[in-house]
Amino acid sequence: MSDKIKKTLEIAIRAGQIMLEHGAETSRVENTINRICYSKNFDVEVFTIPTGIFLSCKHEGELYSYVKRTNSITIDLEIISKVNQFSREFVTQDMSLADAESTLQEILNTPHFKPAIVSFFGGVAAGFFTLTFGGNLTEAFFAFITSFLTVSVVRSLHRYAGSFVRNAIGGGLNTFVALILLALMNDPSLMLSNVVIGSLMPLVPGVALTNAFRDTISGDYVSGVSKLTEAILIAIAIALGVGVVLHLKVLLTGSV
Amino acid sequence: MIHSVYAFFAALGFAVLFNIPRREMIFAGVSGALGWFFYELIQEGGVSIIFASFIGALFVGISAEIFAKFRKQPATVFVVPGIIPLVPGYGLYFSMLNIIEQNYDEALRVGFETLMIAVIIASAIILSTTFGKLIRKPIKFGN
Repeated sequence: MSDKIKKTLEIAIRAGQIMLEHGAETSRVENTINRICYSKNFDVEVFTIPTGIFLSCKHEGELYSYVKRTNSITIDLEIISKVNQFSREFVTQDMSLADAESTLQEILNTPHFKPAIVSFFGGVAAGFFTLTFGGNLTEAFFAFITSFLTVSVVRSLHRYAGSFVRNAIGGGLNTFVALILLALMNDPSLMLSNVVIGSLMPLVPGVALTNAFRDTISGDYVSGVSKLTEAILIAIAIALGVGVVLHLKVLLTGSV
Repeated sequence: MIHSVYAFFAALGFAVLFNIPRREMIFAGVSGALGWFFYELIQEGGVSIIFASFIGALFVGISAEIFAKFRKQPATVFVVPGIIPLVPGYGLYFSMLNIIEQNYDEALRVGFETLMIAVIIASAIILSTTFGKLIRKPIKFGN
């Protein structure tokens, strides 16, 4: 019996961890864990913050607890959707615990787009943003190139640097490439801000900021505050990178 | 109008960045385009950018809930790429850049506007989530 409960709690927290590390809201993580445990008639208390899951369960006079520290948050909605699907199947189809474990492992091995394709679409998004905000076609094309390079570099730095350093490098590289491209064209009608506005979009923490307030409004204050901090820090990092390159340009060329 | 088409592709690009399930990408793009269309329409009517963001995000949220119901996916899959054209990430960055350059007045103005837009988009999404719960489980009166 105690083996079954331990396995169930492990699967529940594994599912929650996978969701949290791929950008799910804390309330969704708590719901999933609750759903999985209730389906086996275990009464659990779960508390989730963006950097960890705390789970405890009282069953037949024994207390079980499980704390999971999570890290490296990226947004991957396919994985979230699949774990969501998994938790529903687990609850309705009376899946065996071994099956559940292998299903979760399979979800983690979901094939992804190749990095080059992801960077390409980052560039596409950036180019169309420049157009949306009133840039012309040349500026959009520059935003595409700039963003393609930035997204490639920032994503490949994933293993070596934390999010602050990555975003600072991204912001700096972005501005640097945009400045070079504009200098090559030497056309005064092209605006640096139009190129940068689009090409920074894949980096700027708009979704993080909105999610921070979503969590806060739903009553997850701890999660809201930590996401707000994250969003502000990312914005500072990007501004730092951009600021350094712009100031270097002033020092080197004597003009803005 | 043409800007909505641009917003469609911008949302589509982000759908790939956020790795949403491949068959759902078109729908995420449609959410983004719809949101931007109403955002611009309302803004041309001469109201504040904050109210326009609210209406835009409301359309993103409601369309996402409808897609979620028919495509059997969590609504986030459509909401996150869909609100991308509206979210004020650039404003937050711009505000920080102004702080680094010591333009504190501009930083405060942009910063506050950014925070308000984020709050209003979040509220619109919360409202549409409530709407989503209604279309999944219609209200039962009594037992």
